[in-house]
Amino acid sequence: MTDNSDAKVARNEATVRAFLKGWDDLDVDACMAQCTDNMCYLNQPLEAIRGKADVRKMIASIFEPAKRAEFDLIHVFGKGNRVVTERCDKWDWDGSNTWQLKLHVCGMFELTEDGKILEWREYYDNNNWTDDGGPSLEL
Amino acid sequence: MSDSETIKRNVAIVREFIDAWGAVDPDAAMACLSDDIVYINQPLEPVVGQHDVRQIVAGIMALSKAVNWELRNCFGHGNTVTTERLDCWDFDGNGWGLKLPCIGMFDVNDAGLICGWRDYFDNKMWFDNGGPTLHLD
Repeated sequence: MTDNSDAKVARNEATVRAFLKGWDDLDVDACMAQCTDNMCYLNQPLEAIRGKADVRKMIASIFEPAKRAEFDLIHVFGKGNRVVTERCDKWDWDGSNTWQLKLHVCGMFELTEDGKILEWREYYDNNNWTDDGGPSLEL
Repeated sequence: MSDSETIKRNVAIVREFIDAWGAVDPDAAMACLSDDIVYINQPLEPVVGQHDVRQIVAGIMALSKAVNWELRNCFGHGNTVTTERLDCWDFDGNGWGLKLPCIGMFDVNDAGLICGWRDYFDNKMWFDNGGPTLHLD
């Protein structure tokens, strides 16, 4: 690997970490600042959500009922334009200061040459999400 | 071994494991795993050790007419390898009845064997489309 590609991967990983930090902060603006206008958000195997406006709407509607979120990053690493994140996403929906949902999840991110998130594909158990208080993931 | 050589070796053993699924060959699959293998289908309970993991792997394969795990992405870092896949399953001889989007994270030990395997996918999609049990009875 050349120094150049190492630098690109490090930049991409930093972008993805900034995006996920936006989730910890329940800050939709911080999230969307890392994304392209034509970004695609895919919760496998649900329908893809395409375009910044709809993705923003989706993320905001997830944040709406959340009191707190904290994403534990188990692995974050990249190659080329891709970054994988293995995570445990913790959610407090009722403000009781406990995590009612701890979601084991992998997210694969694809970034553009200039380091914005173009595609985000999430893999996890949807019943785990909905059974433990996760809101609708459809617009 | 340099870091990049280790990663190359780790990616190769993971690809060998995936090929064993395509060949529906439990012995070839198990040969890629360490004795203390920990296999987790998130969010189900871990299955630990060659004996128990073989029971699950061989059990799934016994019910499969054909298997093809299409690899979308495969790359490593340190001791870990990620695989983004579309797992195609034929359980009844009538073609790919289930195409399961999945990410598998693999940890590889110093001896070059897979010691951790964590698959992330939608369990309802698996079970609704013919996927057999992922628990030991």
